[in-house]
Amino acid sequence: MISTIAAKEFQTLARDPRVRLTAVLLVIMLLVSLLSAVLRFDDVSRERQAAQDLINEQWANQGEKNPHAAAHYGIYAIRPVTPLSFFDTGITSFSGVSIWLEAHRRNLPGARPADDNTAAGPNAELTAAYTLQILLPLFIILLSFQAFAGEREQGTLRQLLGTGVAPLSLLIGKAVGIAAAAAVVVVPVLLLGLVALLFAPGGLAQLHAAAALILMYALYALIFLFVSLAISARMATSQSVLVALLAFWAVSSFVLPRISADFAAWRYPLPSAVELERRIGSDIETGIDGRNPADVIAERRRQTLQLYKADSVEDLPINFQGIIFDLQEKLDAAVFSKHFSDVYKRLNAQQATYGTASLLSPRMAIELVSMQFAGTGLLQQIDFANHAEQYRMKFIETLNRDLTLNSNPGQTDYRTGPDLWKSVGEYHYPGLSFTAVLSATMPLLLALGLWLIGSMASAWMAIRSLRVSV
Amino acid sequence: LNKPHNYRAELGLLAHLPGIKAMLALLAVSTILATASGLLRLDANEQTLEPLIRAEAETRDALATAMQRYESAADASASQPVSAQPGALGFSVLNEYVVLERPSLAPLAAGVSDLLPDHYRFNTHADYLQQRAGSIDNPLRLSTGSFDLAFVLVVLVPIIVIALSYDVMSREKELGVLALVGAQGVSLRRFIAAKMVVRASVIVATIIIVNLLAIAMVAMLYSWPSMLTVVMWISVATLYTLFWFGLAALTNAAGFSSATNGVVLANLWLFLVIVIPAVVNLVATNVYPAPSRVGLTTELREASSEAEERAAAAREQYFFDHPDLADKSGDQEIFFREVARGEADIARSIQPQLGKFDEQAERQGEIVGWMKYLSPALLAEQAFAALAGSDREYHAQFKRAAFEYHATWQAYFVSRLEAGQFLSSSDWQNFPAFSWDRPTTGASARVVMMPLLALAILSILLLALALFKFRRYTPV
Repeated sequence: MISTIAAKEFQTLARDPRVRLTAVLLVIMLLVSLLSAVLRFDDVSRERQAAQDLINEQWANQGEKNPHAAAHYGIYAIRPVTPLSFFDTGITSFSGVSIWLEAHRRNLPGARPADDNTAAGPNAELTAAYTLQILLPLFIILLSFQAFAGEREQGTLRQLLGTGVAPLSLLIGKAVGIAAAAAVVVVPVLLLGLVALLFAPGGLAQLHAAAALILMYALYALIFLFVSLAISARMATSQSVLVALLAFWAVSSFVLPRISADFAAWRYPLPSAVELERRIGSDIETGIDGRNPADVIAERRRQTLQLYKADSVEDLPINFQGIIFDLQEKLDAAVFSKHFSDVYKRLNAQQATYGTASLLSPRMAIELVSMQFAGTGLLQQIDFANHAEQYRMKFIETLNRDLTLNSNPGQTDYRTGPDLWKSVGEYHYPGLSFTAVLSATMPLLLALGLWLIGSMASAWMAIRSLRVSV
Repeated sequence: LNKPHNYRAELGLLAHLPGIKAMLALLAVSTILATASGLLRLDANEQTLEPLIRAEAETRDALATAMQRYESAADASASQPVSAQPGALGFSVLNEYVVLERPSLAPLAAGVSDLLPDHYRFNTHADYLQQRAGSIDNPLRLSTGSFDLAFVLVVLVPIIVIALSYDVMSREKELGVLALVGAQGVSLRRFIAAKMVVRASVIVATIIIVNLLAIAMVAMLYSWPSMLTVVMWISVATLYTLFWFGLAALTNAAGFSSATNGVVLANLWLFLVIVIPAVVNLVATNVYPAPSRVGLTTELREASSEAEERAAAAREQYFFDHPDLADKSGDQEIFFREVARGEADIARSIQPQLGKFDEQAERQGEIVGWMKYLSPALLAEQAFAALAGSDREYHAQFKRAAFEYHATWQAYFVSRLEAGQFLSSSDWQNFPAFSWDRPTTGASARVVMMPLLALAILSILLLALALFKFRRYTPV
């Protein structure tokens, strides 16, 4: 019985010209977005890699210098791209891709790609993820709004119920038929995307993330399928079903995300870059743990002199200036860490607010899940910034140690060279493991799961009380 | 038979249309929320800037007082205070805030205003260093976009119009009303005309009321807009809405079933509101891709290296003099002179690279400038942004003016630094001041003129075509 219902549903849909119209639009958008993803990945990954290589090379070949001058020269941490980051660009267009790592300062990531692409407005980026988030549910709605209401209007619902089909079989049959129709359109394109991923450098490593993404989008499509079936079973005419579903789709896809993001930004305001700098500057001057930085340095001076049993820093066998630089760097880093953590806490709170609102909109849940799985979420951006900062600390520490140990007190013409530069190493951001991403994404997966269970339950209840006329 | 009672009957029908109250309520609530959100957004911007500007003014007062005290002491042996040293003052003490003034309708459309700088904090360092400061933003909000009135009008209103009119005639046909109308000797064309006129009037009136509501909120809580911009804004909103009504009417006139109309219109909405803007963006950014920012970084370093070596001696001396620099004002001025020369060298070699960013952005703007005619949604969105001063062009003009001013500001200090002059009280009073001839209301109105005309032609064409097709509309 299930297969008969499914087959009939599938055939009806396959013959419907309206379905074909949307299917064509969906396939074209998916193909265009995947193609542009492939091209852009190629361009951008090469560009970033070349830049990081050049920066590493510039660092290694900077010639003889005082290590502290080299620390001021610094290096840049550039965020590499992965193939999936073009399937879903997430927030990466709106967040910085390179961080200048230098002495005394923790810099914000700079060079946001969106800054240079503002002509068509800020929210016009076409990605495969966006297409799946917006167009796929619309397609599902168009496939399923007539499932019961259409039969009701044509009078075939009476016959269908007259056959004595079990409600569960009816629900499964309809759902399978519609899902098959959707799959016929979407799956081949996604397989094509998967093949492209396999051929992309670094694609193999993201295969499990890609599989998880496909699973998530399938669940997302099922949510819309069951919501549509529930409403189609409850409303009298297919027109009213369509209007109700389109309203649900538009509100959850376009209205709620914007309102939630605006609300979150207002609820957890961020300091401006200038204001952040001012707060940091004032904390660096006065210290954050109740101790004046100048006192801390004086204390270290006393301890060092005591340790070496020396009367003045000039008598030390090491260059005390290096110790001051090192100490200062650590004091400053604590201040930077305090303020950057505060900013990240606020950003995370904003995202959590947005995530909570996803209980009202399945699109918001899949949006966040998708960008985190694709490696383009806030999670990864903060991880990149923290990773670069850890590297900076190690990097500056190495240079300061060289200054401390290898130059004389008060020596201003101390120079060192490539051996030290090379020992610092080259910057490389490894990215978060999929397990780490998965555990951070759990609450959102829960929201998606709730939506799925809720939509299935409502469809099931609607089918059980299915009437010929309502 | 085109008598008032015809219209009254249609109005009565409309009032009982299922969901109409919910939709009007949704529109009203969305309008108020969107406007409030826009007002809060601008207020938050102001709140972050205001204390910084105030703190800077306080710093300057203190410095100016120190300057006067030094001058009145007339003690030639006392060392020059920081306020008198053009290098130290310009490079490391003074900040000059330059803030973008927005037109009155700014709260109604966020455009790209969250992406592009609305202020600069200048000092005497070279141009390329003024842009480097990273910004902290809500990336999620940037990627979803703001809930502003322009969004409500461009994206939501068409959905409401479609919901209200996708079955305007097809439903009458399906219910058998048209056959009855014909049987009673009423002209079908007049019946259709009456129905369409009432629907269109109600929709247009609603749009005008909603916009007036938003504009009233802005006028009371932000600033009074000029009559011209108000008229332009409402015209764009109305014509854009009429376009969608025309599309719905034409779909009805084609004679499909109500459900088919719904599907066709949903697809058209998707195509015009979502797909075309995305494709236009894709085309613009691929035909004229922005140069690589990370590439710029490496080139900047390359250019710096030479200048760096020249300045190295002075710099290293500076590093080792960190703690007690305050007493060595003369050395410090020498150091800043080195810095200024080094940066000038780098600026000269990096300028072409830097210029390319603006050039490409300009070209992208040109492409979008004509491709926007492919989608009324893009047309309306860009028109709203232009009227709100939140489009790329408005920000580009501000940036140009700001950087021209920065050159003046920089020259003021560097010329004195190079001449080895110290600043006096009168120099303090003659600091350059930023002024910007921001685009006038007339200018932004001119920008909107062509899109407005296009929207008008399109909607009239669609409505005329629909009425023409309705001549052959069959009642069954």
